[in-house]
Amino acid sequence: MPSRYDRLHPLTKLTWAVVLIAAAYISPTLWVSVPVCLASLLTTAASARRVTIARVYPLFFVPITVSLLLIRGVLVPDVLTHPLLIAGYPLSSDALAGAGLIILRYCTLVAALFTVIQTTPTAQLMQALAERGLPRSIEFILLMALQIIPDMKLRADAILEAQQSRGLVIASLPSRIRALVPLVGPLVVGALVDVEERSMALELRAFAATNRPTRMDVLVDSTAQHILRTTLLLLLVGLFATSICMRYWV
Amino acid sequence: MNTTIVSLTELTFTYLRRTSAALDEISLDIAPGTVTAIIGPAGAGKSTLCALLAGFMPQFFRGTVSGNALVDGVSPITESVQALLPHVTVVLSQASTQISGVCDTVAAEVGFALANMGVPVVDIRTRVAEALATMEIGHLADRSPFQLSGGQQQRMVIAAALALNPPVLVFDEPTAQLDPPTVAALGDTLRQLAASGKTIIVAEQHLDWVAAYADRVIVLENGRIHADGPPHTVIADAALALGRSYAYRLATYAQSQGIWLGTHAATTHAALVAGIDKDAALGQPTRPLSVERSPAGVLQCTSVQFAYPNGIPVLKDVDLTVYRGERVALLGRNGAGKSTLLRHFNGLLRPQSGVIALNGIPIGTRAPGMVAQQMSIVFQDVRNQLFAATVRAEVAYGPSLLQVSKAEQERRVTTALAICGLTSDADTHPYDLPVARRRLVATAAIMALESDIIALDEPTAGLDSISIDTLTQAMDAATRAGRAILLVTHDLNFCATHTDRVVLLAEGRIVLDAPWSALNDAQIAMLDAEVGLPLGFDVAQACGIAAGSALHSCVTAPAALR
Repeated sequence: MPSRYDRLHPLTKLTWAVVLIAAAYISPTLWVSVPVCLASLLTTAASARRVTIARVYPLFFVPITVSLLLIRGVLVPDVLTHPLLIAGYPLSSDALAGAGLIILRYCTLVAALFTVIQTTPTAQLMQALAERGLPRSIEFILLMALQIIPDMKLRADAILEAQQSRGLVIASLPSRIRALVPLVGPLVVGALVDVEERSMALELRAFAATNRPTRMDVLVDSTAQHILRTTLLLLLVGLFATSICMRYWV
Repeated sequence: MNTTIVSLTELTFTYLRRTSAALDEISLDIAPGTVTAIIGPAGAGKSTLCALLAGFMPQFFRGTVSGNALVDGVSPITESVQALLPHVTVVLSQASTQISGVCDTVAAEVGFALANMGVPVVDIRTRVAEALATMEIGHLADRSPFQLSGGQQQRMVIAAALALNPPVLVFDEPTAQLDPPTVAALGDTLRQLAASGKTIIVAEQHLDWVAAYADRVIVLENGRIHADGPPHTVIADAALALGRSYAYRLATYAQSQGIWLGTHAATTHAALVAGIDKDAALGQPTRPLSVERSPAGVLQCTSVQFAYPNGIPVLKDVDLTVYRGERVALLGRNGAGKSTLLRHFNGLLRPQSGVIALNGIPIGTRAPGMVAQQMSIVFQDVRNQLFAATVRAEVAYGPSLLQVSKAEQERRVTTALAICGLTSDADTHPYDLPVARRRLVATAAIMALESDIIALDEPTAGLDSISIDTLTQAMDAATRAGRAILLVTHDLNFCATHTDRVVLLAEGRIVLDAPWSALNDAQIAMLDAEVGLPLGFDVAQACGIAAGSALHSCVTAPAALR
């Protein structure tokens, strides 16, 4: 059952995500970045797919968090001037704060965008953008890029199965290197052949038609959402203006 | 009333950088409201003709074209594919690549062309619903096109063509991935469309299907029209059809056995039923009632159960043993679980319960590649397999992964190339060969492993009769060497001719497992209900010949369709 957030117009969700990301990247301190990151996570929580979405967050967040803390904490030059001992290892407190800021920005980016993508059918998102003037060619490229991924994954799986069924064993590093050609070769050749045949398919589906295409879904919008989007866009402009002011005048 | 909707005059097309013409001075007229079949061996020009009629030449496939062509009053040579869509559309042979890739659901995919053409939403919904119902995939409307099986994808792309509702519909091998009931249903649909005034042009290899549903047959050979006439004239003459339908083979066999009342060979089911002498007195059954088996089971499945992550059970308590030197046909409708079961046999999938053993040793956690010497599979889409620069290198890849000497590898490669008729193509790039021979390359690559059991997934799809003969020789050679063959296919006539035993899978369970020669009436009825019957069984049933009788054994003998 879609939540109230899920039912929002795609552009409302996208604008909200963009404002969160902009706020996270413009903010110079943790005092702003922390609540912004929390807001993006709360957005995820507002979605009906929150469990599915949250399940992949550790895969995104843990590796980047660990690597950034180590890299920034150990390797930045002021580690020797302001050491902070953790488990006997000297880490820089200032550098850790810097790493925290980057991590928060990254988390905000991932959470905000991933929630939009997971709660909005790609075709609806593209339709919303096309109704605001996005060129058809760009729409096609974006759609293909987003939707071709499962197709490529299926083909890659099928290639692996076909090669394993004729004796390919992938275990050690050398065997993985040797397996590269029989696995990548059919994928590349298949992709090239697919491009040609998919182009034919698109021709047969009148994709190049110059008339205005019929939109099958009517996207639900409202005055309240329109006002919200306008407000968010004004906020976005304000954030940029504040950022420029702080950089040059403060 | 216009008597011609498709008119070709001395039409010649030569692909860029090719010296010989793919279509050579083709002249023909096709009347509206008819089903016209284009048949002929691989590389004869069938697919080229289909693509040309839809407007792909010379704008898409570059080359030189001469002569004239008109489809519904529009030239496919000068007009774009899109401009031709209100007049003609084509369904190509490979369903998976005809998915636009930009639609979330099957319904959206079927209506995508209509939406792009600016057809009102209400009309799109109506036409999509009708097309989905016609192809019996209404229940899949909200699924992702990428989540469908090959057969379901084929039905979806046909539905997308039907939704366009042009006066001329061109199909390039539409039955290649469909199960027999759907193939028959498609034939009925095409006949209904023709009756409603649509013109249907079908490039097809299945001569029996062509004989049953076409009004006219055009035979192409080397880009030229070799023969042209009604099915009962063309298909009944092997020299004209450049191949023999199964009906023709059965009628000829019946003549040789003295059970044929007619004076000439039949081409249709009805003619066969009329021609068989139901009162013929024969001696003992000509087929043994049981098949002699080696005592050694090379593949053993015991109580195998499996469900995909969505929780829907796919395999339910599957018990199956395949013996050395045996040929087994694994049959079932699209989605019955055949492919899933096949992937368990070499460890690509692991059962959630139950045991799968090869030569008595459970596969356990062994990697699929580790058991290739015992069990190997040729999958349907050979593009996922081929990667080497020459046919020889492709065939040699499998043996090079096994623990065998260089000399032994060389022997296996030479043998595999020979039995698959590829010795003269050994130094050719696989992709320079016609599609049918490419499939033979993939088969040779697996034959070279000399596995104890070789599984072939839809091995006859897209093959012409010459390539099928070659495949048969390769299978015969493997069987003589003591290897077991497992066929997963919808080609019932090929199965009944080239396998000893039939295993029927329905909703994840094996509901029938018996030698073809020992099937009783109840089992035949079950097979008929699930996937249909091979021609001999079908004719015997229509003639009222009881299973187990000498006449039944004669009509259903493998030799009858060889």
